[in-house]
Amino acid sequence: MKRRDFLTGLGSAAIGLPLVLDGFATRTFAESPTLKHVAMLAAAQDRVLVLIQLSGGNDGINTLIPLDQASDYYRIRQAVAIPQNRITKLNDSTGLHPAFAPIKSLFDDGKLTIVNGVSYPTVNQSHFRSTDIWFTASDTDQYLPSGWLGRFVNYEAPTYPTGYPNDKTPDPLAIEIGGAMSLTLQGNANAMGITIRDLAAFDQLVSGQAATGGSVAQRTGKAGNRIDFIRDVQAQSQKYSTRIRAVAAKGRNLAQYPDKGKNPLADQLQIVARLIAGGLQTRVYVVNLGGFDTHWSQAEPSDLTTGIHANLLGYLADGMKTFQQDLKLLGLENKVLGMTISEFGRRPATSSLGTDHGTAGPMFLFGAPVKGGIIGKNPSLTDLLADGNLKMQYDFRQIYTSVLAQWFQADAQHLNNVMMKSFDQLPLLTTTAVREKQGAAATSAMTIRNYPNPCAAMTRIEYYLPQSSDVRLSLHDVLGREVASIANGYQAEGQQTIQFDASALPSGTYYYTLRTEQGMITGQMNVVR
Amino acid sequence: MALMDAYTGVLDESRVKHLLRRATFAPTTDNIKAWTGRSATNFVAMLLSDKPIPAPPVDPETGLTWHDKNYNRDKDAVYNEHLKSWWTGFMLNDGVSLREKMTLFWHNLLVSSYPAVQDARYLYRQNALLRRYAIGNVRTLLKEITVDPAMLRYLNGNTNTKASVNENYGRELQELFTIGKGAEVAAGNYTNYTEQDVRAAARVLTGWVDDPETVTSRFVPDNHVTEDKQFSASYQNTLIRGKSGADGAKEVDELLDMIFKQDETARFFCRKLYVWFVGTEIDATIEKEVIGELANTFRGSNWEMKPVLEMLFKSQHFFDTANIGAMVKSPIDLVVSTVNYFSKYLTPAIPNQISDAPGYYNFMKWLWQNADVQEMGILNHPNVAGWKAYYQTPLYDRLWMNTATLASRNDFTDKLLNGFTITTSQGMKRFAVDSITFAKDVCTSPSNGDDLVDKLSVDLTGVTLTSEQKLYLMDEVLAPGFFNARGAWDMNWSFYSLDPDNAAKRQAVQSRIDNVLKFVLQMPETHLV
Repeated sequence: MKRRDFLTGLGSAAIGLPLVLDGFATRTFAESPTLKHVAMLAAAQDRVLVLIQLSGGNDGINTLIPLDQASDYYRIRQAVAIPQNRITKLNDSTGLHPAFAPIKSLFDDGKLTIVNGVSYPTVNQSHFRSTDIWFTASDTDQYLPSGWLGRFVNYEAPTYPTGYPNDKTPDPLAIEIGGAMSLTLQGNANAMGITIRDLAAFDQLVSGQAATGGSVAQRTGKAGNRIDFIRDVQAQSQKYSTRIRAVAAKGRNLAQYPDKGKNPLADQLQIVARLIAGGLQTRVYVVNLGGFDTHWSQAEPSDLTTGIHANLLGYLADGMKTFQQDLKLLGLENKVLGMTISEFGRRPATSSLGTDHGTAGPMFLFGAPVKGGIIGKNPSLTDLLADGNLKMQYDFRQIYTSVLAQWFQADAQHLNNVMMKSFDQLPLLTTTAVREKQGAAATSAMTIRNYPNPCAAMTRIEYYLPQSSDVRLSLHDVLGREVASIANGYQAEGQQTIQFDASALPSGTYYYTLRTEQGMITGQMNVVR
Repeated sequence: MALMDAYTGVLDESRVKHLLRRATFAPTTDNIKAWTGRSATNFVAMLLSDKPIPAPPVDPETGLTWHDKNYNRDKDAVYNEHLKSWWTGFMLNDGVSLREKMTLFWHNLLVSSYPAVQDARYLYRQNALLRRYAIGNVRTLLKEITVDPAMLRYLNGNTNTKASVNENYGRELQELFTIGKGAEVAAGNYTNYTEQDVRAAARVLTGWVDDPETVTSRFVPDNHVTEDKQFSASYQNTLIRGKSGADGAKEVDELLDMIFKQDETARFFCRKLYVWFVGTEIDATIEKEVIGELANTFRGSNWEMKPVLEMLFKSQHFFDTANIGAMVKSPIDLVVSTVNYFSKYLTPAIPNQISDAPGYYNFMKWLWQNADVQEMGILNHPNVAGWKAYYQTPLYDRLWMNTATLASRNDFTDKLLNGFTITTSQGMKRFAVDSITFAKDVCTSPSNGDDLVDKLSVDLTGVTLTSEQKLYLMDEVLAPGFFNARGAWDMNWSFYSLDPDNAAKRQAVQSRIDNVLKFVLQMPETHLV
């Protein structure tokens, strides 16, 4: 089911009951092209995916330590093995590297899902090729020129960058924090995102008009191709810079991040949180933490709990945790899903004081929407592939597919377009998170209206809550910008009435959204004077 | 007519610019004038002439060398900066020579970075090695780099022992440094080599270590795998006989001989040269007629670089108009060549290397820092594959351009006109291009606005501007807001000419010339090379 189908359905009585199978709705809806403005409002309220790339190939075996194979672990991994008394137990069979231990609280709160043994058939041992495979979601021997997230946003914005930004989509479709755009965000013909190095520099540097040199000279050939490309980049920086500057000025962080420069991942996540908090409607963010290619100095011989890998896991754990805390304080917890990827894991057998390129590794999905817990089992250190590497339990494209289907509610056609093939999904999200998006049964009992409508000043908003819930009622203009927060807090089930004074608003059409634990409902208000 | 046939005519101005821009860092007005109307043969002979080995870097505060002293933990990071400044100075002062562009080429192919090597003395030694063989024998260079102390550290060759074989260098030597990866025709078989060959090469290379006392490398027979090394059918099932004692060091030569015996190896280097100097689109015709011919020359010369470069830079294909302005300028090219272009007009002059060493080093530091922020940091590659713009399909050179780097590029060129501050031995000094003197030098009748904007831009843009674009420069940039822009400019120039010491009158024309230059430097055409 597509996002806009759900929304167009909401205002009418046509909404049906989804068939929920193990938390996953499978339902088809007739597509309606009407009520685009409501869909637009939803875009403003939409969900965000933050992709954390761990470049170099993270050593999963030293991230999540297989306590259930302790003797094998200490036998095989002498050079890097974490001493037993320094391991934080995640549960009876799995331990955490001490530097990674801060994530235990996320796990205990049900805000971390671990998927074990993620890989793809016949892993390519080259960093660059394997990264491309993860970025493009290709088979091991298949060349794809575009990235999976690039294709995902490209599907909904087929003409991008032509006609963007526009009233419906005023913000970048995707943002990569860093100097260069990765293949992940490469669409079918164009890069689908923009890059931001850091907000201060971005704010300061992007200024003035783009220098196109008057009427655009048409040129052909390779030089013409480059000129068109540079013009596009100029146009992108110009179009979005004003908006991003405004959003960055409005957004803030409520959690205490590490000092700038102390944790490269936290620095990036801080920017992401600030942009989301400022109201940027971008749905995909990509951040990067590099250095995981720990052939050497993975662990310091004098203290195996320190070293390069420990530093990186510390960045990752602190970054994830602070970011999550920030989202919670900002009231954005339900809106953001985080996910880590790494081009491969590392080999069980160690070399020198490090580890060589491997195959399968764990993936982390974090945030309030996740189901929590561990999917799959600890990788076996003895039942290995012929080349001594870990066996795969899940294809990474299963997780991609699950995220697209469950988090973004991509329909079958969209999924097929992005993933090219069908992959079995994994239960990653809470049923609430899946259902809220779909406007499931509970919302059908919710009602909302206002009277008088149209109104000039005072109007009464009435709604019915089938269950007691935390609620948030907000008013938005046709661009999806929030113009008023009407109610925010816990309310008892039953009929609710709120008097709202619209006299400060210019004449026009507005939408109010009621969000509850059971779902979301939207109504339209016209202000006429 | 074959693509690699020699271009026999005299070089016109556009071809001289093309050759200067691609092969050197010195596309200055003087050089363009000096070489226009001469033959490619003379020009290329100049490009390939040998130059003396430069003196090593010094600590500009003391004038003393540090590469031949003990490792200095407190100052090493500063020495690394001095090394980069020293190197950047050669790029800026290389003149009509291929040496520094080829030194940079090798640095990008045979990568080592300071964050990994952590000893500036090692990197000085490696940089001197790359410069010594920049246009020399490639087989020798590969031997030297394989046992180069910085490389032994960078790719963990120094931890590669019989007790614990480390595959890192053995893999990258084949994947990235010599033969390249072909299609993966079966699991672990990349056509040109296989995983078996990676392991065998790693075993051949066991036993080499670096010595921080002497900044050299040596072979430790006890650490060497003395068994035979069996290579795959990709290498005609070559068997390298295991050798014990000091003879084990000779296996490296057998390994390189085996790799260099493959047809694909010559092609690999020639493709890299092509992407570096000519273009990124290698179709079947170019593969056959250009890469194939260059590779024949390369093999025929017993791996000498000069005949290959001579053939390339004298070829009809290189001078094909379709290849002129057909690449996005790299950040180092932008920074070094643009400063070189304006160097005669910088006020005050670039500090002298002898009389103001601190100023000279700081000036060069400003250059490499600007390239760094535009994502092309020397000794600071993102990973062992080098800068993405030279290998990442499909965008290649276009990857230099994104919303973050575009802002940095614009910031840099703006500063040349607006001014930037460098600490010299006489304290802080503000440097800026004296655009009026520049304008008078390049244009004989600066009062004629149309002629002026033409001359201001003609050597900067990678492709010639259209007449419409020049009109825009005249009407909207040089003298905007005037009904009669030409008359207004002519009048203001006369005012200034009659009273050149009047600051206000000077300012009136200078700010407008500055605006034209800043605008032209931001135009897409100027980002082309």
